[in-house]
Order: sequence, then structure tokens, then C-alpha cells
Amino acid sequence: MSILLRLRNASPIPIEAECLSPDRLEGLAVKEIERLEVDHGNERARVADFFEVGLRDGNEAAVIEGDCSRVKHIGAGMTRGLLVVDGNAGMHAGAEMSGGRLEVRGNAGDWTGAEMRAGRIHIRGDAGHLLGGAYRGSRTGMRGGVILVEGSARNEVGCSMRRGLIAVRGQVGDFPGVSMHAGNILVGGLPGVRAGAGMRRGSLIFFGETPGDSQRQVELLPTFSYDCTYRPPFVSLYLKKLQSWKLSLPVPAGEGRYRRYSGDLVESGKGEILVWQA
Amino acid sequence: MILNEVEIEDTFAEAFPMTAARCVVTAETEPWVRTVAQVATGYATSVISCDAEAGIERMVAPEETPDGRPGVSLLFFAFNRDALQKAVMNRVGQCVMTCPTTACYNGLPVTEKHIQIGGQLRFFGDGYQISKWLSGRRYWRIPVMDGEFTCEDKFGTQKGVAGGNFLILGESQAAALKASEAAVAAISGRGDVILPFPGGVVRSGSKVGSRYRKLRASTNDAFCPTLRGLAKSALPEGTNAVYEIVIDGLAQGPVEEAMRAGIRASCGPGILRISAGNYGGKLGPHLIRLHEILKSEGR
Repeated sequence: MSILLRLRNASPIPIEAECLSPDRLEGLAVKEIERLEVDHGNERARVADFFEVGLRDGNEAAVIEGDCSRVKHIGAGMTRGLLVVDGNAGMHAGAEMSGGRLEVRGNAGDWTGAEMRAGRIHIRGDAGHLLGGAYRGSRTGMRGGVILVEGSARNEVGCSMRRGLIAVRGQVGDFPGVSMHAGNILVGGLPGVRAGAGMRRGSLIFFGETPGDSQRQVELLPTFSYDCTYRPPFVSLYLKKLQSWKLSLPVPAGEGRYRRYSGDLVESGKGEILVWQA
Repeated sequence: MILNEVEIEDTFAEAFPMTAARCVVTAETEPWVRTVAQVATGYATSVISCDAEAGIERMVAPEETPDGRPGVSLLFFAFNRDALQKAVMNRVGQCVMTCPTTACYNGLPVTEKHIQIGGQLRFFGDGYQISKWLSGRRYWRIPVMDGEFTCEDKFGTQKGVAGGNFLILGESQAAALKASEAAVAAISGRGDVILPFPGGVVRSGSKVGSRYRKLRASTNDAFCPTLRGLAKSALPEGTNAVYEIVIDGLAQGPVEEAMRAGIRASCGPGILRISAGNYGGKLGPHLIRLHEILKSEGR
């Protein structure tokens, strides 16, 4: 049986609900879950004030139904289990998680998977800003784990990330991989401006160029230096793995070649941007 | 026991434990896969004088390989993990990394009993090597002149069984060779086993020791037709050539399966007897009796 939380009272004021994670919900009776505390603006409230709690058949640890785009911190810090949001999720979903799986069937807000260490987040819709990024003032973003986005993501994807994998099927906004230390960001579409700015190591891979279409070319900073055009086998490892996670980027594994650029030369220059070309 | 009018001698093959690793090597095209497979498993017939015993387990289709390119699965066997580490690292470094377009991946579960291959070869990158983590496995990307060589950091090892064998005693060299080729064809590609000798066939079977003190092994005079009049012979009348099929495997079961398939395929016209090499039970703990492994298949 799974725990079912159905949002019945959507509030324009954000709800901060760190208790909505498998670690906190596991083993609790319905009444106990209803009594869990959440922050509603500057007031304390209970889960039951916003959610109808029950049980349903399934293997998930918990399923949250409804448009939770104003519910923050869903699955934050979770370490195990499968948490499904059947709708949108608010900011900080899966932030600092270190295990388990979070599936968002709608869109996810800013800082989804921020500073996560392990586990997997799968977003069926779009993601907001700073996906897998670092909080302001923090030196390191995502340190491990996997974030999959079937739609698009906004600015600063993987900001200061150190390890892990972010794959976005659609476009990403400005500054993807900004200040990244290491890790991998795969993008099925095109990036906004200043991709990889300040990156030290790590790989940014873009698959969205259209040959002959000047509007659909990747524009890079002048501090990235062209190396060669080749086919690195490791990219196919990632593409095959993504297929096993049911996220297919618009390129068959093992086909085409990649332009390789080293950068950012204002830093160590040991990072790379690979741009797929058919 | 008689199988297809061929006598199966009531004897046993004597196999012994070795430490094994599996490498899955890929390349851009199948011809390069075959090239790297042959080179990486060259000079690896017997640990009597080679650093390891190695062979091609099977060709691997692109759908099965980690990077979606054509590949081959190679098995390596050595007396212990340290020897295996040295042998596999040298072979991957000198024969796989040097071969155009290749990449090398681990093919066994990684436990605490592993060897480090990519993690050692990475130093060839002279500081330009790049590490990648994916699903708990680490890969090294080493820059080379045609792009980069990708090699997994750690390779799992496990106890294997080496020295499974049988002898094909023929009326003529041609008949014995034809039967040997049939046996090799029946065994090749079965998985979990390799035939480390040239074409899977040995003509210089050995016995332990020699009249020369420095030699650990010498010719198996009991099975040499030219010595029938000089040494104590194990050959039935009419035997003019003997070939040995040697099998190494990841466990005793696959070795027995391979022996069974090989013996059945080799029993045909011109073959007088099937025997096996052993050392009276003094060499290894795995005694594989020919009659027992063939019983389940009938006569």
C-alpha cells in the first residue's frame, strides 16, 4: 500500500512541507501524517489543513496528487523509497536528497535537486531555474545522483555542480553549467547564452543543433577553444543509460560526431563542451 | 563407453583453480574488434610460460555492449589476483589502448576482489585524463591520437577453473585435426569458457616435469605416436596423431558443458579413442570424469 496525499486546499501562500518525504512518512498511520507540521507563510499548520490523507494500492512510498506548485521542499533530504508527485511540484523538490527516487509528473520549480548527493529525480514536464544547482553562498551544487527532465529547464542548470548527471530533453536557459566543478549535463535542445561560464571541469553536451539553420546553432563564449570533431565512446554510455531510465534524447547512441571545445579558459580550461552534429 | 563408435576412456581431466577477469572490448568496426581480440589474447596459451591464459569468449553485438558498438568478450586467467592485475593491465595497455578506436569495459561484478585497470592506465594521460562516474562505475577517458581511449577503472575477478581438457586420438593427422576443428566449433561462443590455445587446439600436450631439472613441463611422451617404440605409450594400435582441447572457464559447470559438447562433436570417422590429460589427481582439485559428464547425454 502507498500513502496518498491529495491536495484539496491550494493556497496562494507557499507551503513549506519538508515532512513530505518517504523518510518522514514511512511507518506513520494516516492520523499521524495528518498531524505533521508544515509552514504556511509565517504560520504553523498541519498536513491535514491542505491534504486529504489516505491509502491506495501501489509500490510507491507515497503519492501526492494535485497542483503542488506552491508546496516547497517535497522530497527534500529524502534518502530512500519512491515518491511520486502526480502534478506540479514547488521549489526545492528533492533538494539535498541522498537516495531514493522522486518522480514529478508535471513541472518542477526552482532549485529542484539543489545540492543533492544521490538518488534520482525524474521530471515529466519542465524544470525551473538552478536545477541541481548550489544555493546562494554555497560553493557546491549537486554532488551526485541523476536528474532527468523530459521538458525544458530554465537558467543556471547545474550551477557549481561537482558530480552527477543532469539530462534535459528540451532546451535549457542561460548559463547552463555555470561554475561547474565536474559532472555531466546533457541537453537535447539548445542552450541559452554563456554556457559553461567559469566551469573548471565536467562535460556539457548539446544535441540540439540543426545543420544549415543559423538560428539553431550553439553559441559559445570566446573563452572556449575548439579542439577537434570526433566521436567519444563515453557519450554512448550515457545515452544507453538514459534509455534504460526511459529518457531518450533526440539522437541515437553511437551516431554522429561531436565538436569538442575546452574551457572555460578563464578557469583551468579542463572542462569541455561537446556539440553533436549529424 | 562407446560414442558414435568411438571409445571413451574411463579417465578424468584434472583441472585447477585460477583467478579470472572478463573484459568487454569495443571498437568502431567489427574487423578492428577481431584485431584487438586476437592481439590482446596473443601469447597467452598456458601459464607454464605465459603471464596469463586468455581467449575470446564470444563476439558481442552492439545492442549488448556498453557503448553500442561492436564488441568482444575476452576472458583472462592467472594463478592469483596480483598476477592477473599485472597481466591484464599490460595487455590492455599495450594491445587494447594502442589499437584504433577501442574502449575497454569490465564484464564481471566488482566486489572487493577486483583489479584496477583504467585506474592505472590513466597515468598515460599525463594529467589530461578525465574521470566519469555513471551508476556507481568509474570510467577513465585517456586522450590518444585518434580521440580518446575509454577504460573502466575497476574490473571484477572471480575464481575460475582452468585445465579442463580431452584428447582426440585419430587414425591420421587429418582425421584428428578434422575432429578437433569440429570440437572447437561446438565449444566456441558458448559463454563462460575459452580455448586458450591456437585455434583452440594443442598439439604439444605436456606432462609435469622433465629429465632436465630446469623444466617444469615436457612433452607428453605417452601420447606421442613417434615415441610408441621408445616410451611407455598410452596409444591404442593404429593411432597416428593426437590433439588436445584445453578449456578454461568461470566455473566447473561451464567447463564440463564445453567438454561434453566438444567430445560429442569430435567422435566421428577416423577417431579411435577420446582420453583426457591428468596427473594422477596430484595437480588440481577438479577431477572431471569423462564417463560422468557424458552420461546425461546418453550414448
